[in-house]
Formats: sequence, C-alpha cells, structure tokens
Amino acid sequence: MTMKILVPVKRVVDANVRVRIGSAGGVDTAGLKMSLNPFDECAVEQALRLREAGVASSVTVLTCGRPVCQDVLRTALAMGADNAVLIDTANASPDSLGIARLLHAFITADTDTDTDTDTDTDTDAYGLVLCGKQAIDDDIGGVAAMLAALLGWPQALNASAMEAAARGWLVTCGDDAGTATWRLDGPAVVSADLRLAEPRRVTLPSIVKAKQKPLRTVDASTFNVPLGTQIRIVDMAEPPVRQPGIKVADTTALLGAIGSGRLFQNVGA
Amino acid sequence: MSHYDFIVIGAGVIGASVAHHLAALGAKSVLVVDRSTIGAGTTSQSSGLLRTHYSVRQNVELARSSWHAFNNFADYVDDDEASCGLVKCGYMICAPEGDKLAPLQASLDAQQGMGIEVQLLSKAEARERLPIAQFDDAALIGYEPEAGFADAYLVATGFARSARRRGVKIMENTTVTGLVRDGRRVTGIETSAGTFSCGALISTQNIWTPELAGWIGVPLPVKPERHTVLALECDAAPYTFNMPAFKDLGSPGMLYFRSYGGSQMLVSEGVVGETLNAPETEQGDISLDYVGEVGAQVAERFTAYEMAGLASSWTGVYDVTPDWNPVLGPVGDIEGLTVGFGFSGHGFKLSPGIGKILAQHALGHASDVSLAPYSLDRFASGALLVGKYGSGAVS
Repeated sequence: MTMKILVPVKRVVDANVRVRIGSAGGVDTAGLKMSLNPFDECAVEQALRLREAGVASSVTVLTCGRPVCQDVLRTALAMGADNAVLIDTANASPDSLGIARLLHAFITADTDTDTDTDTDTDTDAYGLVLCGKQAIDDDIGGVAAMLAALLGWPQALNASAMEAAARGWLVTCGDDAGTATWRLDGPAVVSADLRLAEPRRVTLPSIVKAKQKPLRTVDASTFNVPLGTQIRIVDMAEPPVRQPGIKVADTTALLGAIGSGRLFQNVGA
Repeated sequence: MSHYDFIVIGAGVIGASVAHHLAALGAKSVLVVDRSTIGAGTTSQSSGLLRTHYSVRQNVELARSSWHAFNNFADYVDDDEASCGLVKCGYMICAPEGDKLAPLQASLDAQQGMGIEVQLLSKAEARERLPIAQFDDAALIGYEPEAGFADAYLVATGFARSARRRGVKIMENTTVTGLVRDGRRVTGIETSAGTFSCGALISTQNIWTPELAGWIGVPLPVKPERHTVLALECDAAPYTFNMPAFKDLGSPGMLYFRSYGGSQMLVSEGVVGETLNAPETEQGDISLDYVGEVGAQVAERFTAYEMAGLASSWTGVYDVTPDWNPVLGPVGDIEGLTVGFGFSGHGFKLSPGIGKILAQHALGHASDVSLAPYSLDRFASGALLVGKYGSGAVS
C-alpha cells in the first residue's frame, strides 16, 4: 500500500502587488491579483515529484476559506494535483490554530472513512502533509507545527530537500546557521521553503484538464472545530516613507556620516 | 514660492518626453512633478510595440516622427549612453475574409500613400518571417520592416535624464493637490511639497486626469481600463527576436504578439478591457479561465502553443477616451493649460512625437502635426477619431 499526500495551500495577494490599508482598516485586496502562496507552490511541486517517483499514489490539495479560494485549488490542479478540497469557512476568519484543527479533523475523518465504503473509494491514507513554511500575507508560519502536534506526527520545518526513506522521510532543513537532515518515521508533516522544489509551469492543456478534476467542497461546520480567532489586531499602519538620502562631499564626510548614523550597531555576534 | 516658466504634471513617458522637448526647444525653466517615480506608473506596464500602422491618418504621422526618434534614440536625446531598448523586428498584421479586411486594406494603402514602406506578403512569405504561425485563413498580410518594440521605461528615463541634463528639475514622490488660478488663467500648482507658480502648465496625468477635471471644473472623458498580458513558453516554437511583432485581426480578441526575452511569446488582447472604478496601476487578478481562453485563441494561430506553458502574467492600465484616441491641446477657454491624456493603450509608440507637439503648443510655436483633430471639442462636435477597427488600441 502506498500513501496519499495532502498539500494544504493558501490564497494570498500576489507577491508583486503592493498591499494597502483599505478604508475598513484591513488590507484591501479587492480586484487585486491573487495567487497560490509561493511556498505552497513549492510544496505542491515536491508532492507531485514524490507521486511521479511512485512514492505516493495521489496528491490532494486543500484550502480553508471562502468559495473564491477555489481559484488557487484550480491552479494546483493545473500543476498536476489529482483532486482538491475546499473547506468552506464562510465568513469566519480562523487563526493558525483554527486552520490546524480543521486540517487535523479533515485528516482524521478521511482516515476513518477509508475503512468504510464511503464516497472515498481509494484505500490509501495520508502519509505526508506537505505545505509551505509560511503564507506571504501574514508570515506567521504556525500551521505546520500546530498540525503536527495535533496529529502526533513528526515534523520538519523549512525543508530545502527531502526524499523517501525506508520507514518515512529524510528531510534537510536549514537556515543561515547551517543545515540539518532529519529522519522522520511514519506519517509526517513537512513545510517547504523556496529551495525545496522549483514549481513547474501551468500549461494550457493542463488548465483545460484541471476543470475535469474533482474539487470537493466541505462545510467547515461539519468538523465541529472552533473557527474564531484568538488574534486581535490592535493597529495596522503603512510602513514609514523612506527618507531621501544625503549627498556627501568626500570620503571623510562619508565616514563621518556612517559613524554618526550608528549603522553598524547591530552587526557581529 | 518658486516660479517656473513651465510645469509638467506626470513623469511617465509622455511627461518626460514633454520635458525633454521643452528644454530641447529652448525652455529655460521647467519643473516636472510626479506622484511616484519616473516611468513607474502605466509606462512601466507598456508592451512597447512600435509601428506606424494606424487607421487614423494623424496617428500615422505622429507614429512616423516618433519611429525616427526611437530608431535614433541616442542621437535624438544627444546622449551616447541612451538606449530605448529597440528590437527592430518589424510588424506584421493579417486579416481573414470579413469585416476587418477592408479597413486593413485601406490602412495599408494609406501608409503606402504617405511613403511608408509596407509590404504585402503571401502566406508563404509570412511563414518565412514568422515560421511558428500558420496563415491558412489570411486574406491580406501587411508587413512593416521599420517597426518592432522598445522599452517604455527606458525611454521615460532616457527623456528624463536628457531633460535634467538640460536643466529641468524633476521632483518625484510629489503629489499635486490643486491648481492656483487667476480668473481663467492657471498660474501654479499646489503640491505635497509646496506651491509653485508657472507661466504654463502641461498635464500628462494619464489615468489620474480626472483629478485635473475636478480642479478646473471641466469634465474630461477618460477612464482607467485594465488589460492583461501573458508570457507563454513553448520549447517547440520559441518566439525569437528576429520574428516580427504580429497583430491578428482574425482572432476574437484581436491579439497582438511579440517576442519576450528572445524565446517566450508576449500576447495580449487588443479589445476593450476591464474598466476600473478608480485610477490605480496595481496588479489585477488574472483567472486561469482567462488564460485558457486567450491560450485557445493563441493556439489557433500558433499551433505548437497548444502545449505552451504560462511563464508569467501581469496587468497594465490604459487611459481610454470614448474614441480610443488622445486629447491634446488646450481645454476650453482656460489659459496657460495644455493637456495630453487618453492615450488608450497606444501612447508609448507616439510619445516622442506627442511630447514634441505638446511642448511646441505650450511654447506658442507652430506644431509639427496639427493638434486640431485631437481637440477636446471633438466629443461635443462629434468629429471623433474613431479607428476603422472599432474600439481597441490599433485606432
């Protein structure tokens, strides 16, 4: 028996859009270009590669949000995911923990129904949750770790490389301080950084094909998960406008200006 | 309060061109103000096509004089280092049997009548120039060798650098909040950086022109319209720099094409886009369905692109007037004001010529090309400059 991969994704404002604060006090995205979160795109790509290598039988993409979020699911389907699920949260705005709980409930329910002769006819269970390390809108990066805790699965965050191992996964994670390779036994949660896998391009035929692929909507309320948020936004403000530079006459003046600006205050360990 | 003989609002490619031409024609004191930075608005979103093919004769004149500037850009701005990023790949346009055929024939005839080199190609000759396309349905194919595309941002910054070298002051990140008036005369501008008085004001505010309309209390018919551009990649049929830019009058979207980066295909629709409620240049949403629809049209002409991948996509905004042609010249009986707006998606290819005639008008000189057909009054008198292809940026 092989396994399925679940890739939770998020619809975010495109990386090339300069976001602004709207009259309602939040970030105004009306009419602006929305995209599949870039880190999630890498996760989808890695999942597809694992499926193509025969490690997994199928890739499911899932997002939590309003029906409009189906567009990023279609993008992922066009990339090559097999099926998609929208957990419709209607007007609720769950925080990271709420999303993790929804994902946990979804995975648990799916595993349970696999033993029945439900609508789900395949017998594989989810053996890997692969997601982006963070969404580029709120940059919190909390869901993967929270989900791993709820599932009781091992986790590896900010993965830059991964491969299937005898009983699980070998995952290389790292940051500026160095890299470490972890062995995760059994089903696991892995979050991707941009190095994990360069996303493939959506092709015109795949866009057409994606329309035929199953995209299921599940009402979030069926999971009995609290969808409120524990986060309260106190204030939101545009970043301060950058001040113009200064011109200096010569090197001495330049060194003086650098010195007086205390530019190197936080440099060095 | 500082005084300038001339103030230009907007440092897009048109405003920068006006500033360059004012200074080159002898203006000694010129200020340009821009809400953002040089060329950062709609200019930076231009697909950059250069052609003299138009169905409106005056546009052919302006495009011809502008082509000369693009083709000799370093000389034109007198700066050896200046470049407009010109790719002189030619421009091909084709129509099948149907309603676009007669206008195409008439436009090509008119260009030839004006002494512009236009070749009529057989299907085989067309395939030789653009081997990645098929021309089975083509009833008429025109080809202009003196055409191609360039980089609108480079042109805007090139004109701006030339203007600065000639003494023009350009203030970026400066928002105009209102005008200073003395009766019917405009005598200055109020900005986020203070008030400046002027002898003459030239507005090249593009999609922000409605702000001017509010300041002067005269309606100016222009709407922001968002258009989508796709870059497609097809390894089997790269769109190289030596293949001409191409206009497909036979496609439902009247698509235009050009090479993007020497291997990808840049493609966009030449029909009416999405009208925005307010002027903004932010990137708009592009649905996968839209990509699929345009892609299907592309594949009709470029069969290998049936398998193409989407390399990137973006949106740009046009300042569209009711007849898809610009308004150039004075506004009513307001003195000291010259406007240039409503370029409707084809301002870049006219920008050197328009900058020059707006500068000439502001200086009180006779203009190379008459401004009269482009006057605001045409919307009241009904003497519209409607292109023969209907609404769209070919005009």
